[in-house]
Amino acid sequence: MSVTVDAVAGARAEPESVFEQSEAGEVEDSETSALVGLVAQGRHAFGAPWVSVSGAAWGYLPEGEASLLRLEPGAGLVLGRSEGWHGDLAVRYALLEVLGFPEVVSGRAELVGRFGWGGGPHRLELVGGALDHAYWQRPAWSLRAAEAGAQWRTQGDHLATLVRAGGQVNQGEDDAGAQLRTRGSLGWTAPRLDLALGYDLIVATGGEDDTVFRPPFDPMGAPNGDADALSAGGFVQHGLDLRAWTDLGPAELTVQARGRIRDRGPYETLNATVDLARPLSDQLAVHGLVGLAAWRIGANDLLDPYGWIGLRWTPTP
Amino acid sequence: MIVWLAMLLIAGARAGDEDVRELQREVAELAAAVGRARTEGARRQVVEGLMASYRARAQVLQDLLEPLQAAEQDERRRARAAALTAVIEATARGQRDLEARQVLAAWIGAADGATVERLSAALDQAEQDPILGEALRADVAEVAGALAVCATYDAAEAGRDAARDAGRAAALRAAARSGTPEALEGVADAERLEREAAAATTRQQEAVVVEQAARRVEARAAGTTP
Repeated sequence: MSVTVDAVAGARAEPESVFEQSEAGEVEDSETSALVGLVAQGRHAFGAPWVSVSGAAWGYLPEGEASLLRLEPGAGLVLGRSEGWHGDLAVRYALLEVLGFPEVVSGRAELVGRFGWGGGPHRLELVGGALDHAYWQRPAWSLRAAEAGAQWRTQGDHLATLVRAGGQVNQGEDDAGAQLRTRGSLGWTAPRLDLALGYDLIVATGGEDDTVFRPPFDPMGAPNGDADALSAGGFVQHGLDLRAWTDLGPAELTVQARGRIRDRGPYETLNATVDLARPLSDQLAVHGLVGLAAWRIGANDLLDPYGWIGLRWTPTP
Repeated sequence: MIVWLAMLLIAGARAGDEDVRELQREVAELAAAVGRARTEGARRQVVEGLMASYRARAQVLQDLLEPLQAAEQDERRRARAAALTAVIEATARGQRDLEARQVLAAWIGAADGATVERLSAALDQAEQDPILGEALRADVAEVAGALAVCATYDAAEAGRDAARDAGRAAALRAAARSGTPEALEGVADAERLEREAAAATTRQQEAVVVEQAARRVEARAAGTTP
């Protein structure tokens, strides 16, 4: 059983940006708020099956309007070894409640699976997934999607590559759409270092015209994949993401960034975070994060820097 | 057992020089030390220092082996000696040499506990044989030395696999802790990588046990232990 508990305090420039939009996506400026957070994650593997649960409470001060609670149970199976026949299955449910914005309370169920064969450095896999995100009080934001495809991965001593292509169908409140999705990524792992760079292309057709604005980030500023799930009248979108992680000995540094650009627009978004964790003892670490969420969608611009510092407790079993 | 030893004899195995074997063991251990330092991400100066020690002794070994190999008439024995050198070199460089490893696998079989047990049993029989005993003991020492080299290489390879998978999993976990949940596929990746890292660590530990057991058999066969 592995457990991690984070208690953090910091500030965010636009805490209500995700919720304070009109249907056309106009964002009202909100005031910079102090934030406090408590995030707990637990997971356990029973051999092939594993279970996890994550809970988070984020509070904004002094008004607390966009404060939120999130609970995420998950489970999965790891079958076989990558050499030979293998499969992976994972399910997760996320329940999100935002205090002060009851209309965006939602439940999101997600399933991913892959099944494939590996020999030497090569892996050929069929991949699939489905999601259902229900906003019970705001059905215009609800969506469902299912995706299937194939991917080829290579894994050497240091270099890992992935090429994937697949199709996706999606259903919004009224109209359905379809997407062609491709992704390529490169990864490099050396002792105490892991780098990953990915590019994805989405060609979407059908669906409702993009008159209903969907937040490109989740309430804590991370890129929201749901914003890409609906075809929204059709678009071509390019996405670029990178992740760098290094164990510096006395500290662990993680840098992540993701940007996307659509041909219909302007529609440009960027999210970047830098996270530094330094152990204080076997069970306790201090960590800090600075992040930036930025978007330019239609006539609306938003720049939302945020950051926090806190303590991480990892009790040993 | 006798059949297996006879096959080794027919294949041309024969006693090697004790000094060469001792030096070969020392070079293999130095190579393993460099490999471990690389896997653990030791500082460049540390790796370079260990590599220099390895290179110096490997050169002495090569100087000893070259005239012996030049005089060697048996092509298979030449190929095995070259493969042994290549596998030790790959261990030191933290790389794979599948071709050389396969040459040794074709010679000694699987680098596992069963092979060590067969060698040990063969040694028991050799000690009872007044006529062929010495030749058989020399053969066992030679095969056990090669087995130890293979197990060292296998342990290094498994250690690199474990470190790589654990590193990638740690990166995914760290990304997931950056305030927001990782994509579900990333979670599944981390679970698989952690499981495979654990399996690779088990393989590494098993290979270390085989290497140590093979060294004990080699020492017993060479008469360097009581």
